[in-house]
Amino acid sequence: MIVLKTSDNETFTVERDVAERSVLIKNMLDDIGENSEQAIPLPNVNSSVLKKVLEYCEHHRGEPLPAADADTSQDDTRKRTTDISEWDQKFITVDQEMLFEIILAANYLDIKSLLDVGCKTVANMIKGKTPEEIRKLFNIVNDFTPEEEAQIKKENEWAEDR
Amino acid sequence: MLLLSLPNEVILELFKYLNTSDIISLRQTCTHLAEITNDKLLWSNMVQQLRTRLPLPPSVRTSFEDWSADALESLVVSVELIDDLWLLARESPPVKLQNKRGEILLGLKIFLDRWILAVYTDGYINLWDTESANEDDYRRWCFVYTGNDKTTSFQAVLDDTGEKLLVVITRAHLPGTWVVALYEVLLSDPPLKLQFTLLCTFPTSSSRMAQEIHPPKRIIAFSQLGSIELAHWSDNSKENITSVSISNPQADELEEMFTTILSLRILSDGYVFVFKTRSIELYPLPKFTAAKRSGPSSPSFPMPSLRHIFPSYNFRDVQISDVETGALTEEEVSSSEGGGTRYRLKMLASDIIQGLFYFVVNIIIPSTQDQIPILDVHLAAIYAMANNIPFHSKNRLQPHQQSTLEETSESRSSMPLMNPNTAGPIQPVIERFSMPRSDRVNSARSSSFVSTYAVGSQGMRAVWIERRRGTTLKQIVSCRLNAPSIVDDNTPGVVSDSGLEPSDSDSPSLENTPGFDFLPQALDGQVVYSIQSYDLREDITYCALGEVSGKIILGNRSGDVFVLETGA
Repeated sequence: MIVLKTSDNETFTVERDVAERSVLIKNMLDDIGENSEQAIPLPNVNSSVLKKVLEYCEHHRGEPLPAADADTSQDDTRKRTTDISEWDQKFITVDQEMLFEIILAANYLDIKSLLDVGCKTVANMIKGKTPEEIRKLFNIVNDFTPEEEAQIKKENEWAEDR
Repeated sequence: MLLLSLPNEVILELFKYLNTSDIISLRQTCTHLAEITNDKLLWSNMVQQLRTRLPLPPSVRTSFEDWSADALESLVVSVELIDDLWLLARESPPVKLQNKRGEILLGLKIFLDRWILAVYTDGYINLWDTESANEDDYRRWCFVYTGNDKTTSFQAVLDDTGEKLLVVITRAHLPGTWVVALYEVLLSDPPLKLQFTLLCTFPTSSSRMAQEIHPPKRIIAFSQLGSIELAHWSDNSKENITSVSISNPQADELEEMFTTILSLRILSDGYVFVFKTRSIELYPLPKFTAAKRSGPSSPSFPMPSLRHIFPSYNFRDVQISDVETGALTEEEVSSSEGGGTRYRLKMLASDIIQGLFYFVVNIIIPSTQDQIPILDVHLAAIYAMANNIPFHSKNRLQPHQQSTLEETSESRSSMPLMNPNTAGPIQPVIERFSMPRSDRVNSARSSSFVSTYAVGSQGMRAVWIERRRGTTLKQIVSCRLNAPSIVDDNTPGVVSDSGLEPSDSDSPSLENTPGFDFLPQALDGQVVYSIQSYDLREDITYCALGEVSGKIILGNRSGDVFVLETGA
């Protein structure tokens, strides 16, 4: 069993193969050796997010990890944007705040498949929307000057009717 | 927590799942995202992705490292725009090329989406430069008159620099004698004059067809039924021609009659890829013996070959894309003990009765002599003309059969008849095959025929001219060819470790066949232009495809050549 310690000082005790879905943790464990009792500090993840991430790791335990340089199939992933398994889809149905936290944690902990699920979800939210709709969706403040906005709109007109 | 508080690297990761137009929308939301969308990495990733999916200009296919983000973005935008337009109806009618000489076309080709070559049986070769076009007047053009004799075949290729076009023709000369002539044209930007220069000419024997020019090795390949003759031309002499031939001494003469060579390609590793009526074959390139004056006197070579047989097709024609060369994957290197070279050819073969068949062929030539090459034939898509094509289960379930050097490979055909044991689970797949083109009802298919077709040099798009029986309507059909990616090819367990004993036995099973989700698709084209004419001289007899720009070149029975542009 492995002990993980979050930014808000909560500890989680999990089985090794669950924790090792995270390449970061796996590498740490490899470094500190087999029988360390020490808790692994995760200063960039809070307990509510880690709880969620561990739920994901638990569900996907035992699945083969992708190879380190496995993004040669980018083209395939692009085509399958909406291709999120049913369980993952349900798992990732959270509020925006949590969604971005999960993405951030997956990036930090180096859990490629979870990062993919998160990015795909956000991508699906963006697809086909106008700039104004995207601003509204993500609370983005339009900080262009009117001139800049006109310029950028003009340069990208071709994309309008696609 | 906001989208904008994610680190740039994560936002870039997210962009991988977005289309260009979505990225452009994000760009217009705020300055921070606008900045990220100008990242060079983003656009080089986009180009990288496009590479496997869409035809790119040849200059980008080798390297784009020194391109700016802006240049990469414009490239992505224009390539995607053409792809959007590719299947849409053309807005303007075909433009006729002026100044043609010659009446009866022997064939059409286009190079670099720019240079259109038309060869006529009555002694003319025309070359047009579409880029110096002024509106509808293609100003820069040239022709050569090769003589008053009937031209019987031709081939043309660009050399490696892309600046020199080589054209070879065979023609009858005096009763009972035949000659070969090799011409060169320096392709230059204006204002240099285009001109055909005769490089060499030498006698040949009757009914030899020019099939291939391989500039790096200075080889011209000819075929005569099932045998190949290779001629080597030298740089400094018009006379110095050596030749050698490949034929199968064991071949049954009768069988030979039915297995004409349709096309061939010389691979730079010293192999010849041959597509015949009913098979695909791979021969080692024979050595040219000491200088011997022209003439087909070299002895036939008994030599082993890799062979892949099509027992139930009779192909009449095949159009092959440019040969792609690539390195082996690590997995292949470790399994082949010492690496080698991968060649990939995409082709569309036509069986008059059954339809068009899109094959993707992978060839692995090991770098060590004692290792056996691998010939891997995938049937990737079909445009079925007949209603009841005898589809074969094994090929679909096992797209990875490999032919071997063993003579027994002859009996291991790639498409054996349907195995009754697997007929059950196959059913839905057959449904998928027989899917008619969306704009037509099922019964219409057998009542049309393809009069001519062309494949792009990168093998990602094709065009064909279809005519319904009993009508004078000629439909120009555009189509995307989706080759399975290299990644799919390397599904674990698929790559044979030696090539000698392929793992696929004669009883394929659906469950444990790796990669079985890769099945031939229906080639689904769109009619982009129709020509209605009662004049037989307006029948489209040849076509060519400028794949990157989507230009379709059409040639009719009276020798006129037209360019049909995409709507952009």
